[in-house]
Amino acid sequence: MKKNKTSIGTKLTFIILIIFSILCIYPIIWLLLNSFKDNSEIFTNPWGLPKVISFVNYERAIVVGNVGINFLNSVFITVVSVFVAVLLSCMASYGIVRMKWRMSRLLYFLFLIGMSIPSYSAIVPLFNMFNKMGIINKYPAIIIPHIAFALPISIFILSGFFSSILKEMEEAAIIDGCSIIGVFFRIIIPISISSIVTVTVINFINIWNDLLFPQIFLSDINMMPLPVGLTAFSDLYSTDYSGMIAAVIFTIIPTIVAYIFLHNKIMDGMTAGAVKG
Amino acid sequence: MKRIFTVPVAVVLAASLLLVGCGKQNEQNNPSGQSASAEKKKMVLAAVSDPRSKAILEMIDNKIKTYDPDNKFNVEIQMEKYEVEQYKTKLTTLMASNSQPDIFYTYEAGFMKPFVEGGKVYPIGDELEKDAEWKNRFQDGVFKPLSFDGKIYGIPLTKQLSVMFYNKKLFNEAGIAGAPKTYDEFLEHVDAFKKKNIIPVSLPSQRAWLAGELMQQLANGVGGDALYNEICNGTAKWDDPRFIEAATIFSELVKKDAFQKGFLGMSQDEGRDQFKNEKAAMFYTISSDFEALTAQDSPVGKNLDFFMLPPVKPENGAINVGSIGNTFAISMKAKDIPAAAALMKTFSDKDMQENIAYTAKQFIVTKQNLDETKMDPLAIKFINATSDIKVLTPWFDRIFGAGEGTEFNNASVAIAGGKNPAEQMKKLQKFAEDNENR
Amino acid sequence: MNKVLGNKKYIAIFVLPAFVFYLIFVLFPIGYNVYLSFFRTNLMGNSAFIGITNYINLYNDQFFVMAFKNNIFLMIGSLLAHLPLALFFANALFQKIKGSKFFQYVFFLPTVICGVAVGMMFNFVYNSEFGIVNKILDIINLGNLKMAWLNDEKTVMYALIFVIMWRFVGYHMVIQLAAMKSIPESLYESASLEGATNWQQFRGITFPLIRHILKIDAILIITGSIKYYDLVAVMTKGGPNHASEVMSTYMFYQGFRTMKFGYASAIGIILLVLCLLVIWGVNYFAKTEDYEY
Repeated sequence: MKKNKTSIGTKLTFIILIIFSILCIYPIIWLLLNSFKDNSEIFTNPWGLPKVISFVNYERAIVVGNVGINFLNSVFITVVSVFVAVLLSCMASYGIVRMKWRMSRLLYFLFLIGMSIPSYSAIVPLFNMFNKMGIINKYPAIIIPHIAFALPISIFILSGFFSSILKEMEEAAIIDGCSIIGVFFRIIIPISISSIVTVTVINFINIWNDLLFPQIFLSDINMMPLPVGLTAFSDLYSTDYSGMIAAVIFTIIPTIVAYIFLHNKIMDGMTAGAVKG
Repeated sequence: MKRIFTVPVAVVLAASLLLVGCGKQNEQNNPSGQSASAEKKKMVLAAVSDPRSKAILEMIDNKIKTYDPDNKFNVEIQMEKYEVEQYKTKLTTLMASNSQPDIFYTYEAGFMKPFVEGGKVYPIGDELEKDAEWKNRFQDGVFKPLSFDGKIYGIPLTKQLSVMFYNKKLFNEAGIAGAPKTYDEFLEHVDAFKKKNIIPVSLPSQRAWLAGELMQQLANGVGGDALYNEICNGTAKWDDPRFIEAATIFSELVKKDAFQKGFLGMSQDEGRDQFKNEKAAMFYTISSDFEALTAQDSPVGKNLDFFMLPPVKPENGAINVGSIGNTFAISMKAKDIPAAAALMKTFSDKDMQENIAYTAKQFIVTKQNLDETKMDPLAIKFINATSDIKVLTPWFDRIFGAGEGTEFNNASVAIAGGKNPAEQMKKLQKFAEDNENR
Repeated sequence: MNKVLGNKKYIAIFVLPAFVFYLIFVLFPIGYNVYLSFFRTNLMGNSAFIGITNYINLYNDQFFVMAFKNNIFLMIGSLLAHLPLALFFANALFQKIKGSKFFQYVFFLPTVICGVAVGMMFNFVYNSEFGIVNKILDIINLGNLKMAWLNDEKTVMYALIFVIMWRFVGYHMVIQLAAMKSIPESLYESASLEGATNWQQFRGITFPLIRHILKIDAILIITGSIKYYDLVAVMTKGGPNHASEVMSTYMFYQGFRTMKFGYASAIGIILLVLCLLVIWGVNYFAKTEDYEY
């Protein structure tokens, strides 16, 4: 594409990139090294390599903490919430943007409101509602609010994208005889993969990291996702620095592994070009 | 296009299968009476789990299994444990939605007042009145912070005091005979340790309450229980000259370097470790730290002793910051109040109270006679010391709750950080007044 | 075709599911917050209508004002790190600098780790005894600058904002990079043929064609920094002595700790209005056209 000029500018850029990479990785590596040390070694030798690689801390973290189950819960809750949220927002964004409808501006504005308020401001009314619905301490109680609060941001981004898709695509398809729903699934969605994946990633990150909803709407510790499990562990073992560090690392590792595995797919998805010409 | 859906669907299916598997396994491992008939009523007991209360929660768990051996009530009680901050948020939400746990852990005074006023808490005092034997188990005055409008709303399990632990060995090496009898003596000891480059007092104040505790104790010394009563019933203000005097004394202590470097940012655990490892001569803290300090691996173990901080004004002695702790209350909507009350009664049983004293090494709230042979001499000294205390003044952040109480602690931290004491107390008063109207 | 597209039945199928969900679980709670903000209540059965008193009190509340200032500070830091810096990185990777794949992975890493873990990680990093920051200062002989970063009123916001900036650079970079990659190569080829430098290509092709995404990103960044809660709550809880309080942690504190739910709801409504103003403002001042190519 472009010639790789090794100018001073490029060299400088490269150095800055390297520095930032170190900033990104080093805290994790430092924690990893320290996770093999015991408490006193952390105080006396926080910077060096561990004298002995011992997994004792991990045993404590895994056995006493609940990390395996927490991870599965996180995956389940996040995947289901994101899937439904993205599906519903694609449909809604398309409806708002493409349909010739007087109310679409108002609707768009209403969805924007949801983007403008922290999600936990809804805890008390939502708790009341879920209580009456009888779903407290069941998975729907946490999946539903995640979906609901993911809708505004997804619709915001997707409507932005849909309004720039060429109208001709649709017209061509309709003249060919597809129904509206056919047009939606067979043409619009494939073209919009990049935005859809972007929105999926954004929502995935938000829901994966959420701490408050599971703490309030769930009480069974076997249903808790990672953030809650980690908080609970840190509270019980606050002086046990080595155990805590091991717990943090153990929480991070599956995430990192999954991320490395999926990153390529994610990037490809986010950058799938529109059909041109 | 189909491919977009297959991946997430596959993941969801896989995850659900795994979770179902885990769920089934949990059912099998679940110890609480699964074989019971379906008509058993279920109640929830919610508690805060932190390192200090771990032993007590285990004892409660035991009592849940044994309080009703003949299944007279046909009730199944399940304990739910939460981390502290999560608990406060969750309990508030549950109360606001009128679905609070049947039996719940609570803090006294300011924390439970809104719940009581909202009619959410059962006046357990009614049960106490019906059962004189139960009521008589308790020491005098333990229900004071749990009483509103003349009715009692909670049952405490322990008592907690502020206390100054000290290291006898370090004291001897510094040529000090024993605990200071007056505040001036205390100041001299601080100087002596500074000369020897030993931390005089460990006061880890990352969580502001410890600084607040010390300032309140100094205020007790300056104004006695009169000042305490007046601020509680509103006749005195935070910028009362007596409070300002206490605040000034506190800031002078800080300026004298009585505390370790970086004490304002130090966690309770780190500060306790410094004392444990004999780097600090004294440690101002709460009595429930006693267990950790006498643990097997504690270097200070054999050299541990304690004293109550002498009052600034000698006439105000024997007034200590302290209160009851580990309090449980029953919800007005509890499914079976008599069963809950029966469980709570067992908390003051002989074996429970003995366990609290011997194992958890905390102060008990009943008049239970303890077998001194089962306790170490320091613990015995501890118990006896509490009977010398005339007045216990609960921490301000318990009395006033979040808001004013928290701001008192914050003011103490600000003063310890070098801000002007008089100004800080005036700011506190202004806050209290503004807060009234919010 | 217009008839088809205007057909109410189709609109209903597309929009209704999301809207109904949203109406019940988001709009209704927000409405409830608006309603509550005009009361003084602790939700325990004790409430009084007080009109706009909550809003007036907020204006005079020194802690709220401090929180507001902290949010502004956060916003500036976020805008700096997540727009120009992220853009700089995105462009470098877009121009296929050596090791692009590696950098892409690494930069996104901080975002993927959950907030609680990040908070705990940095609690260790900033620890005054064995944390990295103080150790580095020791090594480069600036030991006298060592502080308890998260516990000193003067340094806590700086310590926090560094973590927040650090965390999301990769996130925004990836969004911008994705936008860049959907620009057709042909444009760059013809520009290179005409001798345009990297900078000229960025300024003339890349930047204008991703302006739309940048606008969306800016809105996400600014509204995010107004509502920001996670890391502040995990690392400092708004302390010490409210020095690192932000509006959302203050809202949480007033609601769930002091139980002044009316007051807390008023804060929520202020956040709402602020975010809407931001969205409107960015849209108004950065009007973009769609480029067809």
